[in-house]
Amino acid sequence: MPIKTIQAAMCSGYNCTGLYADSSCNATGVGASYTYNYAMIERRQSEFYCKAQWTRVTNKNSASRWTASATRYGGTYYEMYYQSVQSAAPIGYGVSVFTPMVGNDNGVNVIDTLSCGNTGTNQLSQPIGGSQPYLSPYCTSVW
Amino acid sequence: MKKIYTLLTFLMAGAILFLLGFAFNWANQRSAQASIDLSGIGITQTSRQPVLTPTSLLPTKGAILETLESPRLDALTDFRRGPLLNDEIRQSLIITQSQVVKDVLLQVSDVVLYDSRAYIKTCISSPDAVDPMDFGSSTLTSSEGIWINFYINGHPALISPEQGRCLILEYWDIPPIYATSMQFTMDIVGYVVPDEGRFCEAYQRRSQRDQRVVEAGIEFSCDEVNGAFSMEITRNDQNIPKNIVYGMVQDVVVGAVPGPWSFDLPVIHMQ
Repeated sequence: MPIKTIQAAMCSGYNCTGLYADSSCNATGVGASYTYNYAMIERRQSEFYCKAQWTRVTNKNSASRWTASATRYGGTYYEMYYQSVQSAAPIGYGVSVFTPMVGNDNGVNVIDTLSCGNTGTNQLSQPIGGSQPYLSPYCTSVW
Repeated sequence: MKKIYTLLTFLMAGAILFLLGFAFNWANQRSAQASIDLSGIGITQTSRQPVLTPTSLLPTKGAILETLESPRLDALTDFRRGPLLNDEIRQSLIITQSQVVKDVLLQVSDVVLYDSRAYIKTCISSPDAVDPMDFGSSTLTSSEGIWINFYINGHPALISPEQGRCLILEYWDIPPIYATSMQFTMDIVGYVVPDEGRFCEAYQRRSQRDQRVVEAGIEFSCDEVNGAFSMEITRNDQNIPKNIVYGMVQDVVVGAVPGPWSFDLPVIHMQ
């Protein structure tokens, strides 16, 4: 069994950064999602409970694929910081991975982030979006 | 004699003045003509009409934009504009075709082309009428290309178990399309992904109502670990090989129903 990283458990704002959302966060989607290279890339948030945002990526191909996700923030091209995750093996259709959260600054101001994702037949280099995520088709902000 | 000479002098002066006036007028007319010609060139430039291919098929607005206003956007620039769906396009997407594969009804509209985008409304029925369904890999094809990437726009219309969940897929980077139809294929469909922290609750519920899992006496433990779900088979009454059991359970919990559903969709050009 993999080592389990601590999950949200009622964290809030900045204290949630680096933790995975759980049911206490009451997650919802933000804006329009899209698919790129069979990855459905969704911006997710917990507006009132965890006060944080993250990215969820789902494999939409009928074949199993490596699936990776990243939430990028900071710097000119959102290249400075990231929360990243990749499936431990190729995952089947409809299976998701989601990144740790990026908590709101002071629990109030939403950090400006990009949501990135990709799938592939081989392991993917991380973080998704590379050195200039703002210019990558694998990444997007909210529309 | 002197009077006659004076009179002739006046007449000659008048004739000269007349000729000078005529020459001046002629010169003015030539000059005016030249101005008309120049301004004529200007008018031709500003009122030039697009020369469309002599065909009964309309090009997309993207094609007209390419001819008149600006070069076509590259794929990344177009993508960065985000979804462009509006109410007018939404209302023009009317369900016209349907297919049933493995008890899943897929309904689709015609393809609406506008700007550099192609829109298709699709509704997917739920086989158990409990968990709503979501799309799988969806390919749009014409003689101009193949597209697999799209925005997903929700549809606020009433959702019934018969009609299912409706979405509007918006493909970007569509060039001018001259064909009268495009091919749309959805390879697979499945349940909507549960919210974070609720994967296992949904997966256990789905597996407990699946006849294959129940009859095979399969049970599993489930956990969410590091942004993904993890499961272990805890009961396997019929000793089905491990890889087959894992594959079966995974298909059941995500509700995977392989198709394909394939349609030949008429093309509608919105101006």
